[in-house]
Amino acid sequence: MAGGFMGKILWADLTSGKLWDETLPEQMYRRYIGGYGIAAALAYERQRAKVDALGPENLLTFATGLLTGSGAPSACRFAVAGKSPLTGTWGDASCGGYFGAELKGAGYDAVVVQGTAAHPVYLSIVEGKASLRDARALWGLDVTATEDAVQAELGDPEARVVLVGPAGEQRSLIAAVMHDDGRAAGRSGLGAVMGAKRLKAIAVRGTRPVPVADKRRLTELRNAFLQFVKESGPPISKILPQYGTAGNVANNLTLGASGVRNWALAGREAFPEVEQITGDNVIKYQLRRYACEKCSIACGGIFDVPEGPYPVRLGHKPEYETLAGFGTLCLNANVESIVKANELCNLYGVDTISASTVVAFALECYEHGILTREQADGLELTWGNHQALVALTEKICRREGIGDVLADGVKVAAERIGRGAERFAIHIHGQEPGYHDAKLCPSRGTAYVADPTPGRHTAGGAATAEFGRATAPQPGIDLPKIERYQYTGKGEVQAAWSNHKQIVETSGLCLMPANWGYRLDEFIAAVSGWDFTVAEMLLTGERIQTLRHAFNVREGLRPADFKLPDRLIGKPPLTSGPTAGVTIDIDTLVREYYQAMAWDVETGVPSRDRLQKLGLGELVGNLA
Amino acid sequence: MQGEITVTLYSPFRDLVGCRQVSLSAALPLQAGALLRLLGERFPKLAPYVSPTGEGGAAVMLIVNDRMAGPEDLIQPGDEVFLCAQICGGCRRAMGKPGDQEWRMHAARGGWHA
Repeated sequence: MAGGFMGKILWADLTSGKLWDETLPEQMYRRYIGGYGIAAALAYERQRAKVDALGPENLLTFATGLLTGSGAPSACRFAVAGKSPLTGTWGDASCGGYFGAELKGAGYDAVVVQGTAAHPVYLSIVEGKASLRDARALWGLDVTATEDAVQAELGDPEARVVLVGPAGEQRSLIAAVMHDDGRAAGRSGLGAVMGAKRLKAIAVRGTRPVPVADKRRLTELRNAFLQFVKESGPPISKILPQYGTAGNVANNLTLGASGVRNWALAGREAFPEVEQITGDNVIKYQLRRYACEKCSIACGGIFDVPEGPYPVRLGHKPEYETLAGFGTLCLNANVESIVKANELCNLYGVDTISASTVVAFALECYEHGILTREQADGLELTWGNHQALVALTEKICRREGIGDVLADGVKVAAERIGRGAERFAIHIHGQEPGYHDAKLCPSRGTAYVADPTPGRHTAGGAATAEFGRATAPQPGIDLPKIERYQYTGKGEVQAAWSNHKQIVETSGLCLMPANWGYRLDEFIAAVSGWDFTVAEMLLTGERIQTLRHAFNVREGLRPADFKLPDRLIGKPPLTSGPTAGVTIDIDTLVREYYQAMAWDVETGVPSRDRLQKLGLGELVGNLA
Repeated sequence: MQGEITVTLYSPFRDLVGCRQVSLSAALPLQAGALLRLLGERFPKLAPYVSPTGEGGAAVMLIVNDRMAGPEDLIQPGDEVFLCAQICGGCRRAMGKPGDQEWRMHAARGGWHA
């Protein structure tokens, strides 16, 4: 077996209570690397089409990356993957922290869960021994209490736990899978899948070292990378250690990246109070920084707001997305209320991007009389009303009153409310987008629409190149320079960035430093022992992306089903702000990306020739 | 006409310079590209970022009166100017050793399948 892998995965059938190991051939790791690559391959191969995402047949996979736990810098991540109940598409979400490395330490590269338990259970994996345990006493507990209780029951405060809070138990379609109190695999609604399976938690403990093929080379690469970032890292590499992504809020708003007033506006003049929710005004509540496993950036922070209307004890620093969502999107300049909303989402296990977009949606519905005060349980849902924002967030987390209407995301909420509410529901095929406007970086829109998990800002593709600093995601890849508002000739570039991103994700590398000169191909070669070239890396990335996409095609989804909201296109164009006058040609961008990937622009079906080149002919060939 | 331009800085630039705003004296109107050069000369710690050829080059964007400013756009007296970091990564030079395999993708040659 190549380095980087423990060589086996654990299957858990919750219906029968059976657990078993499976050894995967090395070729499968080389073809899909790890993380959601392995998960997609297993789902495509072993799960029939069109299963109920909340039913027993949906495979829910927790998978580490190739580099996870290997000592490669900032490579700690694991993926949660399965069919998304929020979008009906392939769904995955990424999370940092320590679970991934610990799972490998316990002897497994991945855990695949099928079936539905008769009563709540949790899965314990300690030093290679797995068992299902009764979790009835944990059902209903919040995230922190559950983690504490599981660690206490195992008698090990160092056990690493992934779990769902009450939102996942109640199958909220915006529920997250949580870890380390405040880390989340937030997107795609996979917390609802875990809750529907009555799987409250997975706890792991293990001390096995991750095998590394060439430790000397790994050390060389690590030292060279860290030195490179110190000397030549981009501005973001200086911001993150000091502020985390919370340092970006005013900057991103000023650039026009952030949505303002439910995406109806953009720019600093639309929300001049932004300084109150960025940088020093956020981290003044930080007690200490913390880092994920083997990460020198340490962008996380433990927060304490000791008094005032929104006390939070030992909570977590909100990320940029959370500050933008509960801040600029809702015209809310009260930072303590955002810290509180973040804490509520963490405790109940809810994705903050979706939750904050739902809140902004409700505010706009209220403004237009679509939601009345009575329907809103007496809350005065006006822009910037932070008391109402916190109260509504708690109701969404608890599925209480109006919160029950909103707890499955804006698409479902608009269908429930009716009366034209869909005009204000900002989503792509059910998922609320991250706070990176396609009008600023049009390729972000391509990814929102064309990535198999729609609405994902982390699938940004060539958006980085549109900023102009770099043309390629890492050294060794040479791509033509593109312009921000160029609409033709971008498909191949978007595909190259996107295919590289698949390897970032499946190797377990954090997105943040992935494009800071990280020689991902060389790190993979050093850890695995493979002769892993840049060319193989990009081809492998394309294979993984095409397989994720093929999952959606097999579900009966077509390209026309995925629409970017008019407000992110610029229809009509804004009259003020940095993106004033911009209307992006999203149709051309998406069409050229599909063509570059050899996916039919009408049906989405990958071409037979390309499937053969990718080695997917046998698995996916019946689609073509 | 000689005048003052006040530039509001965001992180990490405000941390590098040590203040939230800087004022520069210059002949106005001034092109945005010239303002970046001036910022690099006046504040050497900004130079790697504001110079298009610096290690961190093209890592910034000027927003003038709530609009993106291109290098030739003119800055007038009283304009509100922000120096923003482009929140992105990407590589400007190779980290690896000289002679590393350089794999080139050219769409015209059939992309990486060629």
